[in-house]
Formats: sequence, C-alpha cells, structure tokens
Amino acid sequence: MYTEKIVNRQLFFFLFIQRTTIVISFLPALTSAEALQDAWIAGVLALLPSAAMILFIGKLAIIFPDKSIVQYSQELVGPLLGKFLSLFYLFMFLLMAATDLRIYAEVIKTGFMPETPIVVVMGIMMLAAVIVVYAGLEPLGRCVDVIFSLFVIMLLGSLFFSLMHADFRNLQPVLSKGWSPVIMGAITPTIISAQYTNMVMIVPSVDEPQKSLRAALWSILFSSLALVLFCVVVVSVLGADEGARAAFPVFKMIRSTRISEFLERVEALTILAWGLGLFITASVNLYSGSKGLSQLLGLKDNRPLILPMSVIWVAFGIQIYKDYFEVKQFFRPEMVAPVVFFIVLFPVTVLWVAYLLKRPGIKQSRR
Amino acid sequence: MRIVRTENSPFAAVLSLILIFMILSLPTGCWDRHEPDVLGIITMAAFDIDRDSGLLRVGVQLANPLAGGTAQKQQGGGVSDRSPIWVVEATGHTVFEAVKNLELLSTRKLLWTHIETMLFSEELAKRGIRPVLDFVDRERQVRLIARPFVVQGDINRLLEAEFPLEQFGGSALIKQFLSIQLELSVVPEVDSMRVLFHHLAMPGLELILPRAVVLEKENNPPKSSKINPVLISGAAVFRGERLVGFLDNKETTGYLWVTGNARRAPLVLKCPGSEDELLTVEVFESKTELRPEIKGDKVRFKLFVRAEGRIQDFACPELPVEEAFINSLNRRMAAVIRNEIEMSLEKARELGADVFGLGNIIYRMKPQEWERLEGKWKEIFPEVMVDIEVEAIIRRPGLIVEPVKIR
Repeated sequence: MYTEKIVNRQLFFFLFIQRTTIVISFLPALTSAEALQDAWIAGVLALLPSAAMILFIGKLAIIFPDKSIVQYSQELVGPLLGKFLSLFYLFMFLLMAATDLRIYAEVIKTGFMPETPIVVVMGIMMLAAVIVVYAGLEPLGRCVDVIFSLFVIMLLGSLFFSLMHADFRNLQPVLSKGWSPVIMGAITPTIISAQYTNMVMIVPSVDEPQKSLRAALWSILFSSLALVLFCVVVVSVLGADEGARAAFPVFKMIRSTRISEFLERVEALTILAWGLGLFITASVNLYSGSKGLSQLLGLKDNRPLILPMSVIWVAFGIQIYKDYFEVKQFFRPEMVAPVVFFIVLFPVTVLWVAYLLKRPGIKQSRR
Repeated sequence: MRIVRTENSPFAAVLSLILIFMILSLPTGCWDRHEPDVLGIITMAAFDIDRDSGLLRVGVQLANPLAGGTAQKQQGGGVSDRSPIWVVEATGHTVFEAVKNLELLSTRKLLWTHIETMLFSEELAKRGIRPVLDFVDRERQVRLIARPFVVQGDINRLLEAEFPLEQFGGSALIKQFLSIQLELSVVPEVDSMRVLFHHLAMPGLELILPRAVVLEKENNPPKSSKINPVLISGAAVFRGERLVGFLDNKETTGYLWVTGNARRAPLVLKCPGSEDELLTVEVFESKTELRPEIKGDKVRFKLFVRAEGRIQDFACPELPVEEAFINSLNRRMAAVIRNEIEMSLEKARELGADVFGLGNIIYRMKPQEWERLEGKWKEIFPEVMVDIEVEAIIRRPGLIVEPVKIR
C-alpha cells in the first residue's frame, strides 16, 4: 500500500501554526494569570518546559520512526495496555480540536456574527478540515506550504500596524510583583504545547523522521517568539490592564489601532490568519485522531472514520463548554495543568519505562 | 485527491453533490447579513444625563444617505435640500437600554462600527463615566479608535449643529481637533478611547480629556457668516471616573510641557528694552525629562524642558544680532514656559488630580517605593515639589532679521 509522505518542513509548519493560532487567540500568558506587563517573560519562561515536553514525547516517537504511538505502545506494553494508553492520546486530539474550534467560534460569535448559530461556525470549519483530511496527509502538507507564508505575513502585518501606537514604557516596571505571577502565567502556554502530541501520529509519515525532533524544537522556538512579540505589542498598545481584561487581546488591539487617518479597521488580517491557522489545527488533529483510531481498530484506511468523527467532534466542541466563561475557566493554570499533563505525560512515561526495561531485548531481536 | 475520483466510489459522488449544494447555499445569505440600505451609520454619539428623569440619555448623529453629495447637485440630478445629518435621542437606565431605545425612533438599524467621536456631557462626567465606558469596551461594534471629548454647554446643540465647512459633526470635530493639535498646544494628547482606557487603568495617572465648548446660536445668522458651533480648547480633568475641573489653554500648554507632548506653541514675550512692545516666538521642537527623588514621604521631581523656536512676529524697535540680546530673548521665552508649567501644576494640585502621571513615573521606575506611597498618594501629590529647569533657544528669526523700519 502506498504510504503518504510529508517532509519535516511541513511538520514544522503544522506545529508552528497550531500552537501560534491558539496562543495568539487569547494570549494565555497575559490573560490566564496576574503577570500583567511581565507577560512576555512568562512567554519566554514557557519555552523551556515546552521544549522539555516535546523532547520527552518526540524522542520516543523517533525511536520507532515507522510506527505511530498506537503501534509502538502495543509493541512495548502488550496489545491490551497499549491500546488503552493510546486512547489517552486519541482523546487529547479530540479535546484539542474541539477546544480550538470552540475558541474560534467564540471569537466569531463575539466579534462578528452574533446571530449565526455556533454549530454553523464550527461545522463549516470542520467541513473544510474533513475535505482536506479525506484528500490525505500529502495534500494537507501542500495546503500548509501555501498557508504558512500567508499566516506569517498576516501576523507580521498585524504586529507592524500596531507598533505605530506602541508605548514601550507600558512594559515598566519589570517583575514588580516578583516571579510567582510570571510563573503562573507561563503554565498555560506550556500546556498549549500539548499540540505537539500530534507528532506521535505524523512522524511515521515524515520523510526523514530522525530530523523531526529538530523541526519540532525550531517550531516551538518560533512560536514562543510570536507569543512574546504579541505580548509585548499588546501590552505596549493597550496597556497591561486593558489587555488582561480583554477576552481576545490581539483582536482588541487590532480593533483599537488607527494606522492613519485614512487606513483603519485592519482586523480582517488577524481574523483571516486565525481562520487559516484554525483550519490547519483542526485538520491535523482530525488526521491524527482518525489515523490513530483506524490503527487501533485495525482498519486499513482512516477515511471511512473521518466524516462520522467530525460530526462527533463538533458536537463535543459545543457540549464540552457551556459558555465562554467555562472556556476561560478551563485555561486557568490550576484547571488545565493537571488534566493535560496527566493525559499527555502519563502514557509516555509508562512507555518510556517499558522501553528502558525492554531495551536489551529489543536490541537482541534486531540482531 | 480521492474525493474527485467519482467513477469508482458512489459514496464520494454523493458527498461531492452534498458539498456543492451546501456551498451554493452559503452565498445567498446567512444569519448576520446586513444590507447597506437597512443600516443607519452613526458618526457621533453623545452621552448625557436626562435632567428630568435622571436617566442616561444617548444621542447619535447619523449620516443621511438621502442628502446626496455636492457632485450630484452640480449635475442637476437628485437635488436634495435634506440635511446631511440626522439626530436621534433616547433614554434608558443603562447605556445599552438607551442605545436599543434609539431603534424605536429610527427606520434603520443603527450601525456603530463607523463612529468617529464620542461626547460626554459635563453632568454625566461629573457623575462618573464608568457605565458608558464599560459599554464601549464590551460592545462588539464600537471600536476604540473613536475620539472622546467632554462637552461644556448644550450637548444637543452640538449634536444637531451644522458646521460651515463640513458635512458631518463627527468628522468635523476630529478635523478641528487635529488642526488645533498640529498648530497649537492647547488640547491634551488623548486622542482615542484606547488612550482613555489606558489612562484610567494606569496607577498614579488621572484621566484628562479634550474639552469642547459649545457656542451660543446666533439669532437669524446670515447664511454666509455662519459661526462654527464649537470651540475646542483646554482640557477636562478627572479624578478616577469623575470630572473635577477644567484646565484653560495656558494650563493645558503647561500640562503638555510637563508630559512632553507639546508640539507647536506660540509664546508672546515682551521686548527686551522696550516693555510696551511684544514679540511672538513659535516653538517647533521640545523635549521633556522628569526624574523623581524620594526621601521617605517627601517626593521631589526634577523637570527639565528644552524648547526650540523661531521668531514669528517681532514688533520691537530693533533686533541687534548680539549674544547678550539673544540670550535675553531666550531667558524671557524660558520664563514664559516656566510660568505655564507652574500654572498647570498649581491647578492640578488644587484639583487634587495627578494628570501628569507623576505617580505613574514612580510606579514605573521605583515600583517598591510606589507600593508604599500608593495608598497615600492623594495626600502626597499636592505636596510634591517640582524643580523646573527650562532651556529655551530661539534658533532662527524667519525670513527677515532686522524688524521693519519706518522712517
């Protein structure tokens, strides 16, 4: 059977766009804790634990370069426990896609189309994802090649236009309340790096899997850079309080900028970038989820699963949060950190232990 | 792509058909469709308190689409005597209720996204502008690029006023504000709701807004010499969300010197040697530095202002090109600037409102000290000493050097 291949560049684009989209949508470093004008430091701090988490998950993935987590977990801990552990990851894909879709839908409903039912906003986005995942991973890779440059141009555009109103004195005083609010602010951005769990499904399809880890680490570096830049610009344009109060700080910032007396109202740029980014996020998660489930069930192809799964995912995205306040609540550090750390790290920890115990055996069998 | 290979999969064919029909149904309209002919575009909104009922009153000025542009009139088609603006007002317990009550009186759905100017009446500002501000920040249509003004006088007269040179009140006020800001330094630099929110949220910084004074209507004005309905000058000073007083032109210029936002300021000086004659210097460049010195609860600030200007008119008998004379001019210029700064500091102390953000400078540069002083800043601020040092330089005399000689 023909196996689809993408290259590490495309993997880099996937991961970068996924984390950046969700990070700039509500700027968790600023809004999830009390870091205020030090939010950018929180963004920098989040880089190290994120990178550590990616190393932890990704290293195991590239030890088995031609297998996904569903396959290597069964090899390491036996079919039953292995299937059970990979269910955690399948749930994670579902949770991430549903949450990201819901956040996007909240932006659209709050800012643009208050009367449009949320199922339509989420459903249409999911439909686009279904079409591209149905086409396969390679077309998705080509999509991201096109979208990436647009995405970056729009992000840079919204940063640049806002810079004209930036007053960098708003970043003072630095660390006036000590480190603890900053560390709390770093937790949620770290959690959002759980998006990188998609690696465990995509790495088997990458051309040179040994270099995938490097691509992932570069992407977390650039994504963190984007987070830090947006924190700096939002705080210097809106002020720390106004930024932290906003439901969607970047959106608020773009709406509040007057580029000149003639050119104003440029928020379409940001919204379009989010739309494109969310399309990639939803597609990659849908691909990982359907691929994982098909391997779990022993199906040859993931395509029959896509359409029913997408319906369930949209319904889940609507049902999981009652209102915007619950979305906001979910991303509070003390809420999100235990849940996501457990789902993401527990299975991999078990697999690492199993791998380290079994390693001599594996080496022998290879001889 | 698998999906287009319909010949070997009936499922894909059905799916494609469904997709095509779904996509076709989208462009025909959705829930949030708005056609321009059912929208009334608001250019200016005024927030006031109804004197009889004590409720909030919101008045908006809409651009009238039936008025037709000047180009149409010249062509002879679609001549219209309709006013380019239309004003509608409503009251309510909350701002949003009042805003929704506007719809009772309007044939069109009101569109707030293009609002350019927001006016706060003196009464409302004295009572507190917070209810209005929350609406502005929360509601999805209003953008924070709108410019705020505090209106002294009859706010309805301003809402309904026709400007001699402009079509709409909203953009007229902005044009007036911008030209004043560029030509004179008599309005504070707060030029959008974004800056307003920022001033309110910053510790140790009180809000200051430009003031618009509504002029009385003339009885039967001749058509050619209509007066402009509004004068924009000076500033409204807030403590928290409440208006506590106004700065006049000179005090506002002083405020701009302290905050480093002065652009072009004309300064009238007496001639050295002949005190009856006057000359005017226009400042073109200025720079401000403020540094705090804190000893216990005693706070001092060192203020250094450097201003460079040129002579714009000179009614003195002579202008000797000597260092002594030029220095004497410079000293006089510095004295005028120092005087304006002292006037504004005095007024701010009297109102008890730290509009200069002196507390904010401490907060930014010495956050530990600020934590200690924050609670009692209200008492400390009127006692704060400011050591003013002004360096004024007249760089050039204009197109002539010697003044006009009449023999």
